[in-house]
Amino acid sequence: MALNLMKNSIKMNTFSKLQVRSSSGSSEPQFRVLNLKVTKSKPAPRRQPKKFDTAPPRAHQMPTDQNWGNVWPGPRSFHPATVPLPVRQGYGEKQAPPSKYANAELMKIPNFLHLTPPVIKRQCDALRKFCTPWPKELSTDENCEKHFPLETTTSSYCYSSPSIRNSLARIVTLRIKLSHLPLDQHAKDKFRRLVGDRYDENTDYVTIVADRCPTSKQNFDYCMYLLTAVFHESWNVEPWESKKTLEDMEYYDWTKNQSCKSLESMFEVPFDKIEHGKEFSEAVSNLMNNGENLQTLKTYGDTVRKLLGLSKEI
Amino acid sequence: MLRSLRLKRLLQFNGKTLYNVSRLLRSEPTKLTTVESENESEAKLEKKSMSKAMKAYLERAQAHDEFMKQQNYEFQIGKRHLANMMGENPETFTQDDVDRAIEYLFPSGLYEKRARPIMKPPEEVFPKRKAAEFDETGRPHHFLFYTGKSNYFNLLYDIVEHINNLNKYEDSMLNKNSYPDPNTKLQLDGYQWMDKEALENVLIEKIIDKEYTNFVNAIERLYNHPYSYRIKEFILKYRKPLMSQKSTSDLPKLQYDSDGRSYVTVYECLRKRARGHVTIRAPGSGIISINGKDLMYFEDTQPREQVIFPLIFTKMLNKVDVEAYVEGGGPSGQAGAIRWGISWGLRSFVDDKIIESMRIAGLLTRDYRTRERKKPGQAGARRKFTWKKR
Amino acid sequence: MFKKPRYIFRYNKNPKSLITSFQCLTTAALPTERIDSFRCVINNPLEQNEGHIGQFYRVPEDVVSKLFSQGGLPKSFRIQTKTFAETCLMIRKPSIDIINCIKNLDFSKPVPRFVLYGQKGVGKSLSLAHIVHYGYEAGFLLVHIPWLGEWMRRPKDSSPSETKEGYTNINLDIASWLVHFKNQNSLLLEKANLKTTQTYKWTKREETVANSNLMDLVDHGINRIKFASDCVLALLNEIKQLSKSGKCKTLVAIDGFNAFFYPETRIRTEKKEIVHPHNVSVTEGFLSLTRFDWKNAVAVLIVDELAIAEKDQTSYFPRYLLGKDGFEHLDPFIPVLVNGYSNKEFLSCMNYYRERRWVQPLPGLDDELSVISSSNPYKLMQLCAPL
Repeated sequence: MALNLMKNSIKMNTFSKLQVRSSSGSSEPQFRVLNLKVTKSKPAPRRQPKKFDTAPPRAHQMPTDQNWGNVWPGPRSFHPATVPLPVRQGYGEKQAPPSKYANAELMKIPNFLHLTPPVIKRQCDALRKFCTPWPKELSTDENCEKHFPLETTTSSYCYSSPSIRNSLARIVTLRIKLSHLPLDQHAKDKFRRLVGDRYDENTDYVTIVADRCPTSKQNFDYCMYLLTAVFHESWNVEPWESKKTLEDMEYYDWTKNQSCKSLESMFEVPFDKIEHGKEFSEAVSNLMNNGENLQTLKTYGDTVRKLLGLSKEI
Repeated sequence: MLRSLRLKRLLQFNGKTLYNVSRLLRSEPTKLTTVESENESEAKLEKKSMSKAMKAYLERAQAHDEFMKQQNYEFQIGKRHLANMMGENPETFTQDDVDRAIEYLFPSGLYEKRARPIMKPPEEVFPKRKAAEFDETGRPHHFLFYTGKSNYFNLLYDIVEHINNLNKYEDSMLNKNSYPDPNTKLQLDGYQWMDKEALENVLIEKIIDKEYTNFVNAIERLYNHPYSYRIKEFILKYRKPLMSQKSTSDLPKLQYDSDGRSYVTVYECLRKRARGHVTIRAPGSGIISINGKDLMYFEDTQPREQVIFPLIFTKMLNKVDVEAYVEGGGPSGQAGAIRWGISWGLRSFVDDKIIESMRIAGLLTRDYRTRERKKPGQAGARRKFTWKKR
Repeated sequence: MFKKPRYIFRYNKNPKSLITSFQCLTTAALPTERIDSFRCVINNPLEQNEGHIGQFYRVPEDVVSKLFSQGGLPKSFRIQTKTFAETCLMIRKPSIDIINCIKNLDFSKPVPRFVLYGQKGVGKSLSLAHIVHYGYEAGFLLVHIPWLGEWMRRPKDSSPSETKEGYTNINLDIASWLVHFKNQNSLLLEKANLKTTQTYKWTKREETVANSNLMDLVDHGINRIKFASDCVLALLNEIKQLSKSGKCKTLVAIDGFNAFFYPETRIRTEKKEIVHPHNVSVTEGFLSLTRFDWKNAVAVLIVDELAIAEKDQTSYFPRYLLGKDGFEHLDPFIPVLVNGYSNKEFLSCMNYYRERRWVQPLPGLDDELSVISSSNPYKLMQLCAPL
């Protein structure tokens, strides 16, 4: 409490002094310069850097209802004098973000100043008269795929380098579903072996990519040639194909395997006369072709129990 | 009437920037009377000398005003231009629209959001300036001005004054033979003292660590006073809640799958380098699947215990099913990520009391610790190479 | 739920006396409903059925010493039985399943082969131990290999075979197996009149004449370790002949059977070349016992990840572990899955541990343990050890 009182008294004090000063002070004392050398002449004035007259930014004269599409007709990097917006970019701890003038960051980032919504609308309107309606037959994706099973993909590149050619534009990707090709079991198997990892089992797509020729036209022709060649080759049956061994088989054929033989020797009759023999063959093929898991193993076990006349699993 | 007239004159030479003086006059009526009584002539007041500092300040302030005016004008024009560009009505173009338009015109993927292009009103862009702390003659307003940190020391002063007052009150109560009731003692358990930065913001002054400790010690002493409840409001100004207790509205809402079971999915469960998401379904039978496997996904016992700990803690082990997908990191990080995900998701299935106990148990706290990088010239993050004399 | 037992259990130095005291208490003092919980009153595997699944039965000490003194129970389990002062096996679904099949088997038909499979530590070996105990009680001639991995992965010695070109003998292991065989079948060999069908000439002076006792063959292998492998081949051949002719019933039980088909053993020839299991001389004999071309016998085999090298332990399924050759060798076989504990089995096991004062009765312990161990018996045993 005492301190508080003191605080007040200090304030009072300061104010009384103020009175004294304000009443006595008549004119402001000038700061005197200490002139030791007693030079009379004035020091030479420093040379001012020359200022060049530049026109004020163009943005200052723009009306606020102008047609922006005419001001900024195409893609271009940011220019502070042309864009009438007080945008800023960057940050500092204490100062304000740098303004648009001499701000390299704003020039580095991409901008969409040429594609503002009104401009897009105008361009769409201009293009509309060249459009035709989408064919009704291709209304769904399934129909599209049914009528046009072959799919080719190329990329066009457009950018502001000195050359308008991009070497990536030559690459052609061709894609077709294997089920769309008329192949029988042998041909399908051979086709898959010929294309190798270009076939994706999960999606059923065969994908051929060509990039060896310099233009996309040539690459496309090459893709088509490859597809045709592989297709016809897969229908050919060579004489050496009959020499296929069990190891070469792409799937498990029970009748050709040891399992069948041992079953026959066990029962001493051909397998089609054994009771539950067919079930057993299915169970083994299932186990071998679909991989073993708890389900396939259980069916296998159950059929073996039936086959051998054992009591069922608890 | 007379007073306000005087005041106007006083402020004539710069009506705007001298509001501090007026504030001073308003807050101290006694002083005002002194001024009135002693300064009878107006001419005297106008002639009154002005300190150089004040003069420089006034010039600066004027220039700043001009500048702000210009900026404001440019911003208003720019906003109209922008509305025109986007094909919208400039009269109804709000700041939100401006932000959206700038994001559209200048798409920036910079990680630091502050580094992206902006177009904001100048008041937000330019940092605020401190008003004059002294009057026209150069005399400071605050009695602690020369400490350099007037607000900070004023705060300490206030605390001490409060302590003295309370002591006095305690003495008077003891004279009346009454003792403080322990039940009325101030209890602010879920709170903590304002941290240094927040205090700096309140004081508008930079303080050093030692000064902050002094403040905490002083106010702690005040808080521990048996009669501190009498100045609860003062103390509460410098205390803030320990952790914002999530209200029930913050909890993710239960969704329902095709079986009619309720479920909650927690995304972005992070720990060390592991990332994952966790889905909790209720009612369940305690099936835990991690990346399609059961708890055997973790080979060691420790991570398994980590995963089921929140379930045991909330006694929900056999009541919910957990489905987790996690990748990256090692077993311990993955287990930690899942543990956090389960705890976070379980909040929707348990009551507030258990949520609070989970919070206290640290289940709801994200563990931000990650591996510290290796430093050049050292064997590891902290370890130095074996020192050999030569 | 489990109630506190009414008798006082004390660790006793003499397990026999303890068992007897326990026996009379269980039979006399406790009511019959009480026993249902986790202990099976029927200790004879011949009389056990599906109703007893999840319960523990005690294997008499003399039977244990006879059947499993040379192996057959996993080491960690043996240590535990020593601590518990009794050997209790849980009656589980796979073993009861196989025993049921054996009971109803038509022995005139070709040999059925059962293959136990399952993850590590789910109790395949103990299920086999249960079946072996059943075979012993049912009067089967036991051809039991406690752990084939011991021969193929950790052989005690190896030497080139003298009788068969290009083959390798592991005589020390084989001789100790002969001791095991003799232990297991001593009663049966004495009782049944099992004679050899042909004369085996070992050296100029040594020979086993035809129509001599089968035990002589075994003894010869044990005494003359050099001929152990040849003796085993002869013995297995004799067993096959005897079974075919119906003079005895045989139970073939092999743990880690897939080691016969895993190409990398740790047996090496003198030139330090890895020996393929088919080039180990005894392999042929045991493989012939697991074919279907004989009768009056049952084969129960275990395929286990632990029997092969660690780098290939990626799946526990029989087709993977046996490989193509092994699968074709056994096909058609009956795969029997061994799972972790079911809820009932888990509870019963925990109750047993509590009764043995092995774990403390804490609230919520069972739930936590069942989740952490994923009901894996071996893992549970490990987790309970420090509790």
